[in-house]
Amino acid sequence: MSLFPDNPSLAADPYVWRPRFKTFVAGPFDNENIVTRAGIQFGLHSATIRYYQKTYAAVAKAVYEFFMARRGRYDSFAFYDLQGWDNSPAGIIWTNCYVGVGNASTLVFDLTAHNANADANRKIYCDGVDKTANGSWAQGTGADGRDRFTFSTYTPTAGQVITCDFLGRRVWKSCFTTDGFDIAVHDSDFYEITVDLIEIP
Amino acid sequence: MPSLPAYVTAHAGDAQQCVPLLVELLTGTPFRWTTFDRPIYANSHMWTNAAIKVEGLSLNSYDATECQLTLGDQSDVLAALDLSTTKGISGTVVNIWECWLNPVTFAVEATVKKFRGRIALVSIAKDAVKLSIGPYVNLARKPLPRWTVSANCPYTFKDGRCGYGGADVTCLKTWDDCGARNGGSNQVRFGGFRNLPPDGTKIVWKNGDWVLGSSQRTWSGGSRPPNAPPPRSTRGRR
Repeated sequence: MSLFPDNPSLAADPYVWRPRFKTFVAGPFDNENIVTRAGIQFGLHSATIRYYQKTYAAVAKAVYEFFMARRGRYDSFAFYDLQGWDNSPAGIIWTNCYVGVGNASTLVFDLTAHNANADANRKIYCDGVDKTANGSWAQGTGADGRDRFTFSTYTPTAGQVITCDFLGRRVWKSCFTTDGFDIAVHDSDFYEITVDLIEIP
Repeated sequence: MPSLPAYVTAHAGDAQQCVPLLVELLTGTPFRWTTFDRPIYANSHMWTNAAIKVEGLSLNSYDATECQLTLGDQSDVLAALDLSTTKGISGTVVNIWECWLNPVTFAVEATVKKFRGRIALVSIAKDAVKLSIGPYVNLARKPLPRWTVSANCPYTFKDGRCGYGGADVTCLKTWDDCGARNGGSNQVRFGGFRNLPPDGTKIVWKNGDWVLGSSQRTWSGGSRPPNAPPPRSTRGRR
């Protein structure tokens, strides 16, 4: 999977991201009550990235080339959450991030984290039970630079849902939401770009 | 996994539910998908969180006779359905379960069969494959029970009702040809009505009498075919 241009110089301003769920709602009924049904278990995200004012030609070129290589919405890619580009997001601890489902044999799982801080917030759960001590967490050794967890003294059973918590950069599997975008060219070699992307399961 | 009654007892009236669907397409190697955002292990199978949309089924309703599936990941399914020959399209069984998850932990607690049908129509759009699922039992495709009255034997040669086990590989289905097998002993199992005129003989009511029609091919047994009703005038005098 391709990786969205990831460079501190690409940090956008402002960077807007939104968590989202999918809930089916029945009602409101006569007593104003509603009944809800979960469509998904894990939160997904979407983001609007604006390269504004201080964007130079090299940045605009990188984003443009990446967009063209993805053929707009066609191809998915990995995206490292920009809020934690310097590995220290503003106090956000990502919790209940989906990792995978056990099958009684697989021991190695790539996480939705990139270089997560090696602190007490770093946890691995199997069906909600903390199994962090049953393996090792390696930074950036998985696909797309994801962190990788290898179980050594425990094997997730068939159907066990594996999740993780961490402090650091979150990795999304994403795609653009449109097949085109604008590049506004200002004088002094400044460029203005806005791209929307959406996380997919 | 608790039983469904136990689940209902525990969660009846919950304002929150999580009930994704499990979809099984019974091709040679069954496809098993879930509409959820992660794989689900239930009923001793892993259900993949595929790009699939189910329409036409309402939650907690179990009397639907048709629904529609939209598949985003289509190539494997199309190969399995063998579109080139239409074999395997109509009639491929589709089963759908509700997977009742714990509304707090999202663990699988019970599954309940929601729908059983057969693929009735496959349509390929630019963005997805759409399967229209019809009833499991399609009366329009069921042959009605019928009784064939013929001078020829209707049995399949050498099957259990025919009973012949010799070296011959074919027969003419006639009484005489049956008699040529096993020295005539096979005729006790002859399945035709040997006194009827041969197949192809057309008998019509004409001018107050039964006569042979124009399509007669082989029978030449007289002015009336054997066992044909007597002329009305004769019947009246008896």
